[in-house]
Parts: sequence; structure tokens; C-alpha cells
Amino acid sequence: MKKCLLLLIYIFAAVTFAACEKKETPVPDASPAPTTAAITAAPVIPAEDGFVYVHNGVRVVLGAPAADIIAGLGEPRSVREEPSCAFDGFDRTYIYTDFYVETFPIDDIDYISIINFRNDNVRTAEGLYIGAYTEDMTAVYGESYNREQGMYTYEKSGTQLAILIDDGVIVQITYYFMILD
Amino acid sequence: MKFVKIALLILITAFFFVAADRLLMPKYMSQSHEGRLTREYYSSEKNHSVIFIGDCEAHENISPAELWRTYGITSYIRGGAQQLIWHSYYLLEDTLRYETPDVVVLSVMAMQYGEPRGEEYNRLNLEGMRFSPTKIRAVRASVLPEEDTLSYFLPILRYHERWKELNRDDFNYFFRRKNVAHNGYMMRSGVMAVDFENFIPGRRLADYSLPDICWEYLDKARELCAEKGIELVLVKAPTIYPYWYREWDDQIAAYADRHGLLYVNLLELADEAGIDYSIHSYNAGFHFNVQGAETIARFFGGILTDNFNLPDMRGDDQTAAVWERKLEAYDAMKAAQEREIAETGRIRTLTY
Repeated sequence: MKKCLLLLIYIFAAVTFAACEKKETPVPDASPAPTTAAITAAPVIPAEDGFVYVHNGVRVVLGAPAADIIAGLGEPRSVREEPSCAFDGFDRTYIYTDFYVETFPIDDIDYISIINFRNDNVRTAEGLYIGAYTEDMTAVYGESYNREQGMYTYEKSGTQLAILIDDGVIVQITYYFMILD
Repeated sequence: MKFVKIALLILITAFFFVAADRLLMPKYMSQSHEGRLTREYYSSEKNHSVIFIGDCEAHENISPAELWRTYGITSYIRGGAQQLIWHSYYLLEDTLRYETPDVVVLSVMAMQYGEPRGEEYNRLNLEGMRFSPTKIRAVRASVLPEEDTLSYFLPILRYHERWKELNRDDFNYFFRRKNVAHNGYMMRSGVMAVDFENFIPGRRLADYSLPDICWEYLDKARELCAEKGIELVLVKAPTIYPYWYREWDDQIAAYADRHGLLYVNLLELADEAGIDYSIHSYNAGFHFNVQGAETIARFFGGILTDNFNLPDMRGDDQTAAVWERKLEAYDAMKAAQEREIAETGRIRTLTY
């Protein structure tokens, strides 16, 4: 009888805890870590060595906590809060006249996820701007890009610089923090 | 005697197993209410003329209560947070195990997503499905490589570590949980106007082609509906965000045209529908508030009745009695939410 009991307890324990060993920490996506499924968000590491946008001396580092950076950039024209489809917290978009910055939350802290230029008044730290030409891009960033139709993407230390070219002219410049992919 | 003891032991073990499973499962009562949506369907009556399927564009933007009140249409929304198109397909298949509606309305917003968006959304959409071959197929089609398929059928395999974070809800709702939705509609009051002055169009994309896998599942949904004699309608809710590209819309419209389906892009019909973006959204254009959802229901219900021979069930005493009770609960929550907004600016009544 005791053996039988032990066997049952063993089976119960084995089945219950079987999942422990193979469970990995998922990479967080743009929505906050849910409390529902005991998923633990991996720590976000700022991409200091990746592509960095510099605006009036403020370094906008992808993956960095947003609060100080946003404060340094000055008052945005508007802030848009995008609700997560189910969980508490918001992706936020800080809209400035010449660019906008998107953030994502993890554990009540917002991190920089995307920077997008809105016009030709701003330049990348390396000097590229909307309205420049394909050859300007390759002169600055080289030929090591991935190309999907008109989108040229450079990768560097966990960041992407995506440049959309239409008829030889740059029409969009966007920085991405790659952990979100 | 020995046999009885063993049987007793197995029964006791099974009891504790089930009890532990029930205790450790998230209750979705104080947060992430969307986790209740899939499960709630099974306790509804199964005689709906219209079934809506889709992500939050479905379960937050149209009011079945208003469809009933205005047109006598019986409807249910099988929606879910970040419901992907393969989730939608299998929830459709699941629904058709219980009933055969006249019309299925599929939200097309999720057609842009060809990849899973995270385990949490698989859980929210699929965990509540009743066990069936459909659920097995749904889980197999959805799980991420790091997920344990079996845990969708034995949730304790996933949640056994939750004992460390058990809270009052886990005990209060151990036996019985409240409803979060009104025939699948999640009600939200409050107003946050759309800021059109600082509207940002979507970033330009390298490739606007909607993913192949989405077309495959849309084909399957269309074929399943055709097989059952159900009219499939495609719809885009009139939400301003997330951005809906013209190129995507053209692809959906072409598909609908090719297969003789009705496609309604409510974004283009917002004025005609009477939608006022300064008062009808509670979060600046992402979702509609209850007044917005009712406005959409009145307009879209008209399109449905114009195009399909949907019965007005208000003359059926039995159905009318059921909906009378539904309307009571709906109106009570709406009044409570509006009172809370007026008094505190925040909604507290999200279950009933």
C-alpha cells in the first residue's frame, strides 16, 4: 500500500514538475510581461554600441530607460498611448515636430524602442537625412545592408537602422531596438 | 478491500490534482479580463444568427445588445486579445460544433500578423477552449517552440509555480467566476478623443503583402462557412489605430470580390455610420466606448439586415425573455460605469 502511494505521489510530482526543466525565459515583446502565465521578462540592456540618434546633445539610446531621455528632448507636441491588447501598461509615442520616439513598458519602466524621422530637419548621428540619395547612404553606412524591396536595413549591436528609398531618394529613416522582433 | 483502498487513493489524488489545477489557473477577474472570453461562450445559449470573430476590434467595438435592441438580431462575439487569424479559424470551427449561424463576421485586422505575438496571447485565446479535436489542432497550430503543448490541456503544468503569487481572486473565484462580457462584448465607458492634429500615419513598409499563412486560414474559414451554408462577411472596424494601410485594404477587398464575399471597411463609412471620434473612443482611437460600440452596431446591423435575411427574433417569447435578462445586466453595467466615470474618472465595474 505504501509503495502504491509513493508511486502515485511520484507520478503526480513528475507530471506536475515536468515542465520546469525545459521552460526558458521568453524574450519580452512590445507588450508588458503578463502576470497571468508567470512569464518573467528578460532584463532590457540599452544598446549603447548600436545605432544611436543624437538630438541637441541628447543621446537617444535604443533600449534605454525613456524617462530621462524624453525629459532631455523637451516637451513633445503630443503623447499617444497605445494600450496593450490585454495587459496593463502602454506603448507610448512621443511626437515631436521633426521625429517621434516610441517606448514599451516592462515592470512599470518605459524603454526606447523606435525612433522615426518625420522630415528633413533632422539627421542621423552619421549625417544621413530624408531627401538624401542612395549613394549618400552607402557612403555613410557601407554596402552591408539587407534589402527588402526599397527598404535597406543595417544592423549593429542589437539595433537596426531601416532606410526606405523610393526612386533613389531616401523617404523614411527609422531606428529599431531589435529585442522587439 | 485492497482494491477499494487503491481506488480511494486514486480518487483522492485525482481530487487534489483537479483542485490544485483550479486553484493555480489565473482567474482573470481583476486583470486581463480577456482571458475569460473564450470560456464564457460555452455557458451562452447557442442560437445566434450572427457570430463575430476576431481580436479586440471585434470584442470591444460592437454591441450585440444593441443589435438585439434595434434589429432583433441574436449575436455573439468570439473575440480574444490579439487573436490571430489561425486562432480565429479554430474558434470558428469550435463554434460550429455547437451552432450554425446565418452569418459569420470576421475582423480582418489580424490579417497583418503572420507570426505568433507571444505565449500570453495563445493562453488568453486557447486555454479556455473546451477539450475537443479542434482544440488539439488549434494548440498545435499556435504554440511557440518554447511552449509545452500538453500544458494547454493540463494547465497545472504551466501554472504550478503560481502558488507563490496566489491572491484573493484565486480563492474568491475558486468555484464560480463572474462574467466579463455581454455576449462576448467587453464594455468600456469613458471618452478620450482622437488627436487628429498629431495623427501619425503608419510608417511606410517595404512589403505590404499580407502573410501567406493568413490567406491560408482565411481560405479555410471561407470554405468551412461555405460547407455549412453560412455567409462569411469581412469587416474592418473604424478604429484609427493601429494603422490600417490602404494596400492591405485593397488586398482584402480584392479577395472579397474574387470570392463573392461582403467586405465592409467601416473606416471609410465612419461619417455615414455617425461615428464621432471626439466622443466615441475611450482611448484616443484604439477602441470604442460603449456609445461608439452601440453606434457601430446600429449601422452595421442595418448592413447585415439589408444583405442577409436575418430573422428578427424579438417576436419569439423564449428568446426575448433570455435577451431581456441580458439587457438588464448590460444596462446595469453601463449605468454603473458611467456613474463611476462621472464620480471618479475611473471604471471599476468590469464584471457582473
